[in-house]
Amino acid sequence: MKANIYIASALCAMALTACEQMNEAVDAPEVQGLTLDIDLKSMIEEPITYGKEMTIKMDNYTEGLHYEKTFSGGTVTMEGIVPGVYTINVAGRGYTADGDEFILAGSSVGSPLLASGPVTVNMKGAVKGKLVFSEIYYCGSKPPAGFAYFRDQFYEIANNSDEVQYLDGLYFANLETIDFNKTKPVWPSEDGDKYIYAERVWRIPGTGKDYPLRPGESAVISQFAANHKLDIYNPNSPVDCSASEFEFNMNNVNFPDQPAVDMLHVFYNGNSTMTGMQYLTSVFGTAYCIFRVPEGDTWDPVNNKDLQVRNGANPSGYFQAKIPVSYIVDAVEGIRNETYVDAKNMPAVVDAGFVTMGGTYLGKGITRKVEGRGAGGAVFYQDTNNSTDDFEVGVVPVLHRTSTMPSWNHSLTSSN
Amino acid sequence: MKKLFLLLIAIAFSVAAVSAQQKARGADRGTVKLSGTVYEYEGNDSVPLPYAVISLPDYEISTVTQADGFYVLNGVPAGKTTLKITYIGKVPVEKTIDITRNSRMDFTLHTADFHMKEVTVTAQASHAGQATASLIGRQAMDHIQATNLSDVMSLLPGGLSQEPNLSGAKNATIRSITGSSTNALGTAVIRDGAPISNNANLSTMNPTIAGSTTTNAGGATPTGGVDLRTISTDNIESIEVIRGIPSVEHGDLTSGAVIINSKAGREPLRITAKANPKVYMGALSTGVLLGNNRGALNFNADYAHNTNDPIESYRTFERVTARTMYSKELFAGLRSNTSLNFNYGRDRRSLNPDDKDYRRASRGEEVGFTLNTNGNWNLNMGWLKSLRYVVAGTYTSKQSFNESMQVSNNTPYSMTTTDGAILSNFAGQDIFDADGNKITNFSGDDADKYAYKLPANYFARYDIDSREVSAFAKVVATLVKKMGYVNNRVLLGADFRTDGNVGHGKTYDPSAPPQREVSSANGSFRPRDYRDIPFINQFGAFAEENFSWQLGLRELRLQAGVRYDHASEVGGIVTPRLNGSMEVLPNTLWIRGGYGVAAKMPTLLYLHPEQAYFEYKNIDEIGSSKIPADQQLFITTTKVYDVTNRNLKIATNRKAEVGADLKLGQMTFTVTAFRENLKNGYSLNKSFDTFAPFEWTTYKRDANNKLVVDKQATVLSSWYRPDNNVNYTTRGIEFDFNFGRFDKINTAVSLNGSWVKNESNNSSYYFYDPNGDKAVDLRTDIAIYAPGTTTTYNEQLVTALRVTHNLPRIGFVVTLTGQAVWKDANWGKYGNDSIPIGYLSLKDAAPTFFRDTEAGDFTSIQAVKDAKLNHLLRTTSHPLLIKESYDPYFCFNINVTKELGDMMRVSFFANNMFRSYPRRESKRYPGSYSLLNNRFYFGIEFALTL
Repeated sequence: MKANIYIASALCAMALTACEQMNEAVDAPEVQGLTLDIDLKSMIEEPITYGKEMTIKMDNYTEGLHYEKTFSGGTVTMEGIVPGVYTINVAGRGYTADGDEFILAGSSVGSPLLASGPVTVNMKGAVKGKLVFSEIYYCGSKPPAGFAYFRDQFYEIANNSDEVQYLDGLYFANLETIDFNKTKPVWPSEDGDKYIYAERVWRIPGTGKDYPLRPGESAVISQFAANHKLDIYNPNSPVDCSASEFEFNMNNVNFPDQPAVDMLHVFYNGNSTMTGMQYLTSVFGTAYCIFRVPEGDTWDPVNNKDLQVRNGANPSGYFQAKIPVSYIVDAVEGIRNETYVDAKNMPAVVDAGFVTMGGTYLGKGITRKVEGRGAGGAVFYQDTNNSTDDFEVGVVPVLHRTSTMPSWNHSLTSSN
Repeated sequence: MKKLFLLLIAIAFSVAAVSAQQKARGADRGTVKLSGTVYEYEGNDSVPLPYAVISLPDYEISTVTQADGFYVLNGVPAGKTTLKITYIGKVPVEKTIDITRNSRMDFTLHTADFHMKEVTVTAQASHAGQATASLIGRQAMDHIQATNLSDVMSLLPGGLSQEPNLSGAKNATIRSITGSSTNALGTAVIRDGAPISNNANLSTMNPTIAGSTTTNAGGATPTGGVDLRTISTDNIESIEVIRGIPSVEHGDLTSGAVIINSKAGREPLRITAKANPKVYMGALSTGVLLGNNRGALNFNADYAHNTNDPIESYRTFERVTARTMYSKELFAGLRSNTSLNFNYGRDRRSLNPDDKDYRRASRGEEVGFTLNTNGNWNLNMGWLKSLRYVVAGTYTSKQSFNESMQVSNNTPYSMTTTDGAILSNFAGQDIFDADGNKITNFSGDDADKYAYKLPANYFARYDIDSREVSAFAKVVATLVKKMGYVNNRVLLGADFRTDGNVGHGKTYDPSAPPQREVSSANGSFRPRDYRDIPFINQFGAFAEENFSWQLGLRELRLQAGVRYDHASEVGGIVTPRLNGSMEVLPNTLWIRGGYGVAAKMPTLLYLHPEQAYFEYKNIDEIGSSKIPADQQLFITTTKVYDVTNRNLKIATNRKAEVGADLKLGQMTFTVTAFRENLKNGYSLNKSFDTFAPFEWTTYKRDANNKLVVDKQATVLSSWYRPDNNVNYTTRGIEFDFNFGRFDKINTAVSLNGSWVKNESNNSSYYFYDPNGDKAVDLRTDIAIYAPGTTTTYNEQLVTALRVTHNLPRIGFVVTLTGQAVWKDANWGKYGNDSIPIGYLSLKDAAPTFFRDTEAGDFTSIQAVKDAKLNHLLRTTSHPLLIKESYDPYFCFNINVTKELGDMMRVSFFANNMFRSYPRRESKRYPGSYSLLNNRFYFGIEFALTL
């Protein structure tokens, strides 16, 4: 009985508060659009000049409000903005006095904008990469029996410059997949945004000039460099990876080593030990990057404990390797679907956008858009540092689609 | 502790001797006769009630009333004692009588319905001086609308309310927070004197490779207790749950016992129907007297249908149980009950048309028959008062299958079960290397078999045909001698049980074997026939003295016993047990205590584990682009290891407790503090004996297309074997405060609860083998880490306040339960789990401990690295160092029962009626949230009595 009285009084109280809120709603002033003066602040040490085609995007995901504007220079004014919580992304290019081209990106995530006034966005830059991911196939394929086949994943890296690039010593890493519940990882605050945090790191072997890529050439790293179209694997697989240049051989007894060159295992959970039966990246997509340690730097995440860290939101998780953002040559982030964009793992400076297949085992991949062809027909890829713009999504994956195989590929070189 | 116990026994017997001497001096007041008539109410009249049982438990004297309700108890020692009268469907009478001369006492029993003034819808505490227990009656089961035995466990102190459904296998656990399978395995479920056995359960696919015992299609797992879903509560008269130290007459248990007394005798026809969001069920029960002293027949049957989740109608459980019990007084003083019990259970997952990817389906069907005959022969010959016996046999056929798509395999499989056999993908063909040495190795039947590489994906189905057979027999003689103020009641008894499995075992199509076990790269599967497995025989003998001493107005009670059990393979064990109480303030305050050891024998799964199989590929050319498909070779060597642990020990639980009972008018307060220490609990583990070296050779083709050795190395096969690594200590305080009924407001109030803290540890060594799945030449020594480095803790403080309001005149009862979880915490401690203490050599599996080497143990990770032993280093994480605990949270349940006239009854319940789902952020995993409490759940039951 007493309980009933409590419930009744609680209901009354709620009803009263509701009325009060209604009164407030009537008295509310009319919403005025805000005028924001956005000022870009360069974080690059050398002075830079902003490019002519800068873009700003303001997204309020909860209210579904989106604003976009193209401008030139280091300031822009946004008008008629409905107050709310916004994620601001600014992207573009910057040039130093020496003519170096920087890819610029700046973002401010989840800022409440309630009044007109100045807003500063810090712009970070990365030197435009000479090697890029030209094709990635991660979502796996659907076999005639069963639903999942994921051993046919591959990652293609292409030379996007007009000079010979050497793959020797280039690192490949993937980040942890975005938590299913979109729980954001918690990284040490003192790191700021100087690092990305890799789950597993590999390296391309070679002594320096063993694996050259001439302009227009690319190299494929396969999870398992076999012909996946065989009956024993998946006749529906879109790819035969047996001519891959490299493979992530995990020395699994059940998956014989293939002729492709084995990647060197660098880091997993604080160790160099190649723990696991297979190297599989999430079929939902995750973030991938290639990076190079500048000459003179040492980067040893196994022995240097300062380069290892656990996600603070998951104390039973694995140690991740800290990769300085400045090392990154190219990065692409794949996410499960658009709703996961809030939990994106990569900072905007390495990939301002994302790709998504919107499904798994589709037998489809992503390929980088071609910007043009240079001397001798060598392809040049679009690289705006925003994979949403740079990639064509949902294409049937093809190895060396627009680029060519390097001459040292094992299928071209005799007896191997 | 043991010494103290022996001392106490010695005291008990010497007191008995002293009192015997007193008797010689003429202190005995002789024996008297007690007679009378037992009636029942019928309308407003009292009519004689035949077949009611009148007993004096202290003296083990009992009888049943004749057709005219008349009874006589002869040879009753004069003095104060307890008298009990029970009859199916009636409120039992239990009262203290003091008789000094031949007396006549008449009683009238009330029908246990909701028109009573005192309705008992909660669990009742047991009396001091015997095992700490809770008694749950028929009314309580009706009121909470139990669908199966596990639902009533929430009435115990510290029990949390459960959703009454039949969605998954249910186990009974006692004094457990986590509901561990070890605790469930050690909880005996005893129906009509005979245990319901799970000892011969083998329903699991691959325990020695996987180290786990998942079932094929639901139902009881072999590592836990019996599936309580198969036990309908509709044919149960009362349940006693022994939480404390059980009498030595109960064996093969560690945690405690759930004792079920089935309905027997005459009762009206009752038809019940109940429904809740997942379950609908119907039951009927009746009992008739056959007349002319031909005994009574009780019959009941029920059907239940459960949908595991209302949005997944293809996953169901169905149950049919039927039982008939024949009760008869065979000849003077020998009362017997004989029952035939049938149960059918079916867990089913039908193919969901939308599940095109996995095409999962499974079915677990269980058909069981139990024949039980038990009796009590009142001899009253001198000291020997009675002889009790139980003989029971059970046959349960469990047929299950599980089918689904198996994904990402490409693993090797060879059809042979011969150790060392080397088969190729060409059955019966010998294959030679370049030097003419034979590579393949097979003989006999294996000539028709072959090895092959499984495709990445395939559809597979496995069947388990498990037919569990168990038999139980027990006889107990009760000797009673009352000498002056001392009463000695001695139980002497023996029991025998046998458990075996005569099923055809697990089978599958050899071209579609079970999916690879990810954790064991070379591990493989084979069918197993259960008919070759011997039965486990257990023999037990026990003696117990129940001593009571009337010291003026106070009474001292002591129950001291010892039990010896012997089981096949593992040998014998002696387990002493003691319970005692002292009445400190006459009829007001009792203090009590107990200490005892209980032992659970290993089950078939642990005594006769299945062999471990391994597949080592010698050559794999399947899919090669250089060799034509019809010439591609695939050869594997099969290794088979016996994984029996011949040193398996018997799991024991040491239980100690102290408590006090206070009775103030109608109010009773009971508090018990306990400590339990379980040792040698069974598990499947790795140990130094679960690694064996294997010389592995791989081949390749040379320039002439001949086979030559490619790589050769010794690797270690490793498996899981039965072991005694589970240990836990549970401390706690249970309390049960019954404030009685306040007549002015027609309301009874009770509060029970418990604080329990559990510390558990698996004492096995940890073996770290990161390269155990790698190619032949890339494997490394296996690191040994210190045993039992992780200790986990759980702590819980739970109370349940039950307010029962009843209006007897209109037969209305409403119970409001306020369940509070005041503390709910778990954490852990870690020992040295990051620096190895040794390694197993890849050459011969022999362990080397660093402490035995010149350099001694390593003291830091860096030192291990400096010694170039990086491959032995594992990365550890210690999440349990962050204590996860929740602030108090509450849940309110309502149960309403209303009698409609004399024939109808309707009950309604709503669990978590205020839909309180506190959402709490994890401290250990920030950003993750838990939704506490059970979901809102409700149900209704109709009962018709004709």
